Amino acid sequence: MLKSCLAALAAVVFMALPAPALAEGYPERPVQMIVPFAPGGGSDLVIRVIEKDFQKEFGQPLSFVYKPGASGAVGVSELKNLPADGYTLCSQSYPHIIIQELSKSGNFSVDDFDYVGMIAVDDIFFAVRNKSKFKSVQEFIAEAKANPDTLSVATTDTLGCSHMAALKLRMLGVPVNIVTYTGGSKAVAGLLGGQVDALMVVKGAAAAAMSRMRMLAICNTQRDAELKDVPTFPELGYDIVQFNGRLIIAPKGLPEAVKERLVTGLKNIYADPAVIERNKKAGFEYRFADGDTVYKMFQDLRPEATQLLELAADLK
Amino acid sequence: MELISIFHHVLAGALQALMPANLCIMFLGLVVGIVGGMLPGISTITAVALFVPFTFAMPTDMAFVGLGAVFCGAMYGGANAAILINTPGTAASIATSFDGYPMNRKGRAEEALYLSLLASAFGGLFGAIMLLFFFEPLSALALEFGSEAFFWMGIFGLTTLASMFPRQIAKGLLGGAIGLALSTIGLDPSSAMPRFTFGSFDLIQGLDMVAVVIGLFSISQMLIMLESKEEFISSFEKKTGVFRVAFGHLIHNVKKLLVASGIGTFIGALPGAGGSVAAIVAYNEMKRWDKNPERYGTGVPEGVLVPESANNASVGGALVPLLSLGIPGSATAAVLAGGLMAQGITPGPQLMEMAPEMAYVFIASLIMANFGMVLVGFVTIKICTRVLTVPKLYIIPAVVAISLIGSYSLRSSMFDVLVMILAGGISYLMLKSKIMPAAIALGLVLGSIIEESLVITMMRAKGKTSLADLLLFSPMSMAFIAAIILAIFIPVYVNRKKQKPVTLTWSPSLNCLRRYDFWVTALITCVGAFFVKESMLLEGVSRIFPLAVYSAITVLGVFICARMFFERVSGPVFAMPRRDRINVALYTLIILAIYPFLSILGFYTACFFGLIAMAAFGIFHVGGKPVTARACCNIVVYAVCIVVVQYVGFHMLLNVQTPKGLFI
Repeated sequence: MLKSCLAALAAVVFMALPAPALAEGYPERPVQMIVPFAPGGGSDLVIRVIEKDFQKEFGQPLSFVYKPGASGAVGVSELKNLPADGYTLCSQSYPHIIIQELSKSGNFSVDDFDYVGMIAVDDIFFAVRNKSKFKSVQEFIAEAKANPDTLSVATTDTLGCSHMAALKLRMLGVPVNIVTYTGGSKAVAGLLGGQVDALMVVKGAAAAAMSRMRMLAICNTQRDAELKDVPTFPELGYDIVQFNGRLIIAPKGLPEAVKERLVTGLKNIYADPAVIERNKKAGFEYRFADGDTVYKMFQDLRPEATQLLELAADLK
Repeated sequence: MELISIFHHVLAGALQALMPANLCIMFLGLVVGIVGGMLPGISTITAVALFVPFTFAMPTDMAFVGLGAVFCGAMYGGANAAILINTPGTAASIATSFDGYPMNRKGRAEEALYLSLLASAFGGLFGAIMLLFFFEPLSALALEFGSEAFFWMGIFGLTTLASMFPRQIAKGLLGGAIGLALSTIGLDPSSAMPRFTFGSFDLIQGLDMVAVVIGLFSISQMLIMLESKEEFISSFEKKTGVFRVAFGHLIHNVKKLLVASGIGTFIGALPGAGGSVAAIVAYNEMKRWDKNPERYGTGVPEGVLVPESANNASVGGALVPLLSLGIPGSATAAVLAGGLMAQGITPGPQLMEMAPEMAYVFIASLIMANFGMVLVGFVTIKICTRVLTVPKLYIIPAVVAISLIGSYSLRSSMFDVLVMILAGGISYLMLKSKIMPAAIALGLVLGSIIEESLVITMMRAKGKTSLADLLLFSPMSMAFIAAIILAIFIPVYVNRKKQKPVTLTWSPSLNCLRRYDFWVTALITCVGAFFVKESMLLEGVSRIFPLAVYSAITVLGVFICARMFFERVSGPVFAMPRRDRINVALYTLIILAIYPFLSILGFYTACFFGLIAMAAFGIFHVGGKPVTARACCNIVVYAVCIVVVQYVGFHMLLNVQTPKGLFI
């Protein structure tokens, strides 16, 4: 009895030992952050705003490598083959990874990565321009149902979170015509120029032109802290919950202790109100979720994403 | 806002920009921008993006000054390389090389450089002033510009091809179609699904436009240089009063410059079109309306003034929608916006309403940057002209080495390096059969704009308005269609009046089989036909554009081949001495051989040995210099210098992480 207890204890100690040893000095050299988008975009900025705090917290700087292409699929696919030692991280978003897995535009799956956590959320708003005759979502939906396929809803991406939100609207029985733009600025210009009737847009991309738009609804379960008057889609009876979650991911097999060190470090960084304020100014809403939650979010989205992708293919 | 208060704000902003610390940052920004713009591989957007992190630590006004200066400097800097070595440093200076390099060949390099500097400052100031006074109406106009107008603007840009090479219209069009075709590889814009990638994941990211452009111009131009017998790129002698001559041209052409800057500002204001499109369109318009369009391309001052003023005017233009609506007018403006957001400033209508002084500080610093640019540019020109006193066999390896690391730094991708080298080699072979890199680059620049806007228009047409109403009968579309018809028929009409009708002797003969360009065209036709077949397999909207483009390639190819078959002209059978052919082939092989070693040995080590190999082969074999210890020593010292420049510039200053192999 005692013997087996000791053996078990030894096994536990033996298994637990290497991990802390690894995390002991982590990080001992600069940590590489792969940004799978062009410099200056959201994926870059969300890390850049905490760049100095990272160095203060971890004692090592971040070095940025930009690998843009195919909505982040190129950089993420490269990440898959890099060592999982905590010295290579990547800033990619929820839900991109699962959509790229399902649509086969990435040669990876959600299971190829370890998720350090989600550090910020960009909420998606359903917006019309302020000259528009639609004052509420109900009005818009009533018109769309009365004249199917005449109202156009623009998205800022193809097979990204904004597109998913628009597809979900259609799947819920609102026959709108979806127009996929390639980038927030072009889509916002299209909306303000009256080329489309409405737009699904993340807050960050809309922030600057907010005074020319009317936000009719938010695609989340809770209202935005700043735009309290804007109702949520679920409140209105439409179960559209889509957002852009800013993740920090690593190749599969990240040592547990390294992951813990990163998570505690990140939480310390975001405990500073000044950091939160800076985030807000740059357009990011701090909302932390740990790696397991993120992984569950992906798995929960899987069936719905599959349906939405089928719908997208049908619409082409 | 009242005029007086605008002036008040601008004056305050200008004074702020003149504070010693800000002035230092402005000059630093200008140097970074100009040098970055000059180097092939650092595009305007990269130069601004690489500067953004430095601004995080700066106070707001300083960040404004710095970012504005880099943007202006990079837009101008590309002209230096375009004029001196016929390799546009950025896509915005492609049009500058059309007349800038011929001027250089005529021994007027310094003059051309001053012209580009003065024109850039002129255009930059024009754009900034437009931004200051007219940004509300300009942005309203830009918003009216829907996807259908973008589509037609792209097609309108393509009409340049017809007048670009007056004697080779079919080949000009073929080149353009090849450029369009290159833009179809990767994720297609309508469904975001891989297209023409043949299972290769590398191709999913598409061919990077800048990487291809570097190859098209720098590598192929270096191979052309290798052929020529001269020791230097052009004869260069110190002359006095050149600056005054250049200034005289500027004054003389002020009307053209105003029009070009106007075009540049407006195109800059359109989201999605930047300096490269602005410069090409402005150049083309000036040429079209000139009394004697043939003189363009032979090295006329206007040919440098016009595109350079247009691309710098686009800087102010790109900021119009950014400040009035929060929509960046170009990719570079988007990066700039990112930098401002990190400062906690959200550019857009709110900014203009809540803190207009901020916006005016920014515009004022942009104006000051244009004055500063003349000073900094003057000094860089003095240094840059030294390039012409260096034997070309030393220049070629250096340009290749910079192109290698430049194309890598675009997306940290080795694949882009390979694409760059191959694009260079292939475009050299095409150039030899009179399919010009400029035509291919034009197609490449416009390709994604055309397809994207076509796809968006078609999606919009599923709603209220029909496709015909949008694409043909909307006012914008009709205006563009009219302009396109004019653009096509004016050159034809003018040519017919001037030229005697060419009498073709229609006698089919198999002589064409001995022509090099026949075989190149035939090969391109076959590839085109293969891709027509591939395009048929695509579904829905994503097949339309490729099908049109590849069909155009096939038809044009068949047409050109058939004409060669029926023409009596026996034509050039690749008029190049055998020795030169072998030299060029071996040189290309050396460049290609460097590629695998970049990741095996490490980027810098491979570049070092590559430089030695290229320089030694060039100097001892091509140049025929005797192999002496002293000469070998020189080459090693030279290679060390270039690698140190690479390392300091890209690794230390720009923090580009290159692949580490056995060494660095």
